[in-house]
Parts: sequence; C-alpha cells; structure tokens
Amino acid sequence: MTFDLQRIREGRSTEGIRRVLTPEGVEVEFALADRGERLIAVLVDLSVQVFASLALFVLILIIWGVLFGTGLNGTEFFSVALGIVSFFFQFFYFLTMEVFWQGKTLGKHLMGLRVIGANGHPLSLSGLVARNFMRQVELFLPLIAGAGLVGPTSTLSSLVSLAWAFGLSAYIFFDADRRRLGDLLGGTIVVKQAAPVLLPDIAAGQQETRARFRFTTDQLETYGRFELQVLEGVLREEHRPDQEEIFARIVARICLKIGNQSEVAPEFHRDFLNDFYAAQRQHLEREALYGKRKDSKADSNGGP
Amino acid sequence: MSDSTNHGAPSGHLGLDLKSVQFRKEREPQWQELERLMTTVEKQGLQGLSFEESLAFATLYRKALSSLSVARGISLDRGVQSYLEALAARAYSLMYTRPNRPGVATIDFFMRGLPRAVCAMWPSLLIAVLTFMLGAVFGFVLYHEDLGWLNAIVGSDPFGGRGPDQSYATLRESIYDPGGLAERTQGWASFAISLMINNVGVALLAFSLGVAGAVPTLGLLFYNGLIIGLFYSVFHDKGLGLDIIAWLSIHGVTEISAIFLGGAAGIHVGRGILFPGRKSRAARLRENGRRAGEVAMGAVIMLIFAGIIEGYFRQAVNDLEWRLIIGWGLGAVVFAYFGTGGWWQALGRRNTP
Repeated sequence: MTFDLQRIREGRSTEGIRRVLTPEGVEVEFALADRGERLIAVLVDLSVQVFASLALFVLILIIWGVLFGTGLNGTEFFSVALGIVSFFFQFFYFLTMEVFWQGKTLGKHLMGLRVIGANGHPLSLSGLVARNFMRQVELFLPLIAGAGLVGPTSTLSSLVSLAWAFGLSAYIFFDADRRRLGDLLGGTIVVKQAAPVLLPDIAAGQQETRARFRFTTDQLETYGRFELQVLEGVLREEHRPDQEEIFARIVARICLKIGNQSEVAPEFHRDFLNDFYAAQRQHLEREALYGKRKDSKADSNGGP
Repeated sequence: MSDSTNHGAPSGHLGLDLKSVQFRKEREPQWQELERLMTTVEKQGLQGLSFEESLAFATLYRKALSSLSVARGISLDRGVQSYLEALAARAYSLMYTRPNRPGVATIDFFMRGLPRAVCAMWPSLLIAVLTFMLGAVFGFVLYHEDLGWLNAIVGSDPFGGRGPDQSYATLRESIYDPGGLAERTQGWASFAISLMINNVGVALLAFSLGVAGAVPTLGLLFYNGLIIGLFYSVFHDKGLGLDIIAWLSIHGVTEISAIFLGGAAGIHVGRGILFPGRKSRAARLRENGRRAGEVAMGAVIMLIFAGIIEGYFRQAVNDLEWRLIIGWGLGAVVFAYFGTGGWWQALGRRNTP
C-alpha cells in the first residue's frame, strides 16, 4: 500500500480509478488496468494460443498413435486434428477462459488483471461473447494484415488494411476508462485485481500504553484530517535512511505550530509523533461526532 | 523520566478512547473470514464453498461493504480505509464476475435468448438480406452487361476453373461428380474444417466491423452477394440454373443464413453507434453489442453445421431433388427456430406445474 499525497489531497477521484456502483448500493473503487499491462497480457495469451494448440495437437497424435498404431490415413487425420484444435483456440480461447475463470485469461492472471461489468451489472455471458468476438477486428485483423506485409502478396492493400485496423484498435488510447471497442460492446472494463493488505493501527498501541506526551485541546485545534493522514504515512514508512532527520524536522515543525515550548529529546521523537498522532486522531474523531469535520489546517470549519 | 518529558498541561486526554480502534477490533475477524473464503473461491470457484460457507460469503461481503461505507464516513485511518476499499473490490469481483451458472445460462441462451435476439433485430436482418440480394442481382446484371466485369472482380481464373469458357459437360461434371462415393467424399473432414474456419472468420468480421458504422459490414455482404450472382450466372447461361441452385442450396441455405445473421449483428452494432436514439451512445452500444454478440454466436454455430454439410453431404448427395430437399428442409428448421422467437419456451413453462 502506498500513501499517495496526491490522492489524499484530492479525495477519491484520481485518473485511473473507476467507481462502480454495486447492486448493494455502495460504490466500490477499482484501479483500471494500464494499457501496457493489457498489451503484455494479450501477448502472453497469443503465445499460449500458439503453444497450447501445438501441444494439444501433438498430444492428440500421440494418443492416436498409441491407440491405433500409425497405419491409418495419417495426413487426413493430421489436418483434421490440427483444424479442430486451431478452430477452438482461435475463436473460443479467450471466451472460454473468461467465462469459466471469473473474468480472467492466463495472461490477465499473470498480470493481475480481470474483467468486470462496468456499471455494477454482473458480468453476463452475452457481454463476454461480444467483447471477445470483437477481437476479430481489434486483434486478429491487424495481425493478419501485418503478416501480409512481410508475406509475398500485395503489400499496398495490406498496408492500408493494417493502418485501418490499427485505427480501430487505437480506440483504447482515447477512452477515459481505457476500454477497447469490445469492452464498449460488452459493457465491461478491465481492472487490476485488488490485493487487500491490513496494516496495524498505529493508534491501537497507544491506547494500551500510557501516553508519554499529552496535548491540550487548544494544541490539537491546529491540524486537520489531511495532516493527520500525512503523518500516518510518515509513521508507517519503515527503514528510511533519513528517518531520524525527517522525524526531527516534523517534531520541530509541530512543536512550533502548536506552541510547545519544551525540547523533545531525539530518542523520543517517534514516541512524540505516535502520541501526537493518537491524540490528534481522537480529537478529530470527537469533533466529527459533533458534526465538525476539519479536512486540513486551512479548513476553518473545525477551528476555533 | 516521564515527568521531565511531560510537556502539555494535564488535560482530559488521560486515557485514549478511540471509537475507530473499537470499530476495527469488532469487525476485523469478519474481514479475515471473508478473505479466507475469497481465497477458496479464487482457487475453486463458488462451488468450492460448502452451503454454509457460501451463505457466509454473501453475508460477509455485504458486511464488508457496510464497513467500507462507515469507514468512508468516519475513519481518519487511511490504513483501514484503503484495506476496506481493496477488500470490497476483491469481494465484488468474485461475487459478480462469473456469469451465473454458465451451464444453465447456455441452455437458456439456445432455448430463448438466441431466437429472441434474432427476432428483436429484424430491421437489421432485413437490411443484411436486402444488401446481399442487391449484390447478387448486381452480379447477375454485370455478368450479362460485359464479361469483362467477371475478370475485374474475381480475377482471370474464377471459381476454380468453373468459368464461362468451360463447356456444358465440364460444368455439369463439376457439380455432379461422376466418381464413387468414397472417392467423392475423400478428405471431407479437413475440407469441412477449413470451410468452418474461413466462414466463421468472415461472419465474425461482419459482426465486429459493425463498429465502423456498419459500412464495411454492408460492403462485405454486398461483395459476397456479388460473387454468388456472378457464380450463378456462369451456370445459368449454360442452362444449368436449377442445378447450381440445388448444388448451392444443400449447404448454402444454412451458410448464407448464418452470414445474414453475422451481417445483421454488425449492422445492429452500427445502428447503435449511428442512431443511439434516446439513450446515451454508450448505453445503446452496450445494449446492441450484447444482443449482436448473441446473434453472432448463433451464426458461428450454424456455420459449424454448414461446414459439415458442405464438406460431406454436398459431395455425397448427387441428385438435384435431394439437394434441394435437404437444403431447404434445413432452412425451414432454421426459420422455424428463429421465427418463433422462443415463445414455445414460455409455453412449456406455463404448462409445467
């Protein structure tokens, strides 16, 4: 988990975040997948398509050979087996994966991505069908046209169709939710899989041990929620080489602001900040109970 | 020590009593239980849970959402809030990213969803059929206007040696293969599969090119009609008109219907983009896109059958009447299936107790 100052300051709406209203009426936040991640995922899937269909083909041949020997009409069987396997992989690989694996393909799984319904609708079968059949023009047309460029056939028409197909594929770069055309048709978005990590509560420890430092109500009127969360971020950041220096600067700054005259010994800097954090949070929580929310030190709402 | 470092004046803040700490302490076991269940679901799907566990999963998911709402309202602890955001997002995606019971959904799709989707987009289907027909008529007219058109459109060796320069006997032989059955159907399976891959590709292209305002889809339909029109003309002029219709019918009724469906799907998507009507363009596109996806899926399945018919039965069945009967009989089945719009499914439901 990171403490992104930008995000704390702007509240909850930042670029790359999509809020989805669940059927239960609560908005849940998702981080949209980066376009680069999706590109890598699709490249992984394409190579899986190629290698898995080859592997499956060889497997069918081996089983056939073990069961029936090799005396059969070999070439015919070869092409039928290869045809069925490549038919399935070309048209149904992505669709089957996403239907039976909770919106993931192998590539998406490796990149930590998944498909979800864009508007809080459950992912529907027809939505997945639409989004994956669109790959025919978004993914395979550029590939085929690109192959035509290096092949022996006419290059001008390949060039034109390549440019044209890339024009359609490029839609993903202009969409605010980073949807490709298939997502648009299917009503889906691709998001990063959330990994919940519960960090210990800094104030919980302070509740049990007696506070070394105490603060008056007046002293706690200075700061608001934003400063509190910045302080939380600093306290959570372990193992920084310049930590002592940063602590010293923050302690000095806080003492100046809240009008604390006495000196704080360097070995107690962390204790001072922990105690101040707990006291400040309790103060802000109490004020919030009376309807006074103080968002930052500049916010006069919660001030005196 | 504590005296010397006690700076602030003694105040009411003797013992800390944070509501948020209590809030977290009370709910943390629920969150952890939810995480445990989610790990199971992630690995084995919802069926990996026992009955009690899946009930608990739904309840804990709702509790996590309510914790999130509360935390957003009161929590000053960013650690807890970020955790709950991620927890709710993960639980949501596990609750709702698997189409509900894929097996049942698939059966329902064929019983009801697909015929309904086809009926619902009849204007698009009509446009697709008319465009194709227009192409076919155009091909017929162009052929009789000037034979040069044939070369210009399909090249110097049209239709694998079935050109206008061939004699009546050669053309006739090309559609009534004189060889024995085994000889005629040799290698049919690989032929059928190559037809399938090719045709499914075309149908899906017709569907997906709908996003370009359906113009390329219309072009594709028109072009395919044009080819059929030219192909028919070659035989028509040698007095083999009915024979070639029968030869095309046996698989073509199914195959061309499927191309119509693929084209209709593309046109439907294009209409969603060009004429969103009262809804927003995104909402209309989503609605039309899903419906079109269903119809395209129907086209794919029909093309799998058509490939087998074209690969095997067209070669195996060698007389005019049977070709017509099989082809148009299948056509009648297809028409009955789609034309009813799945109403018989509702009928069956009413009759079951």
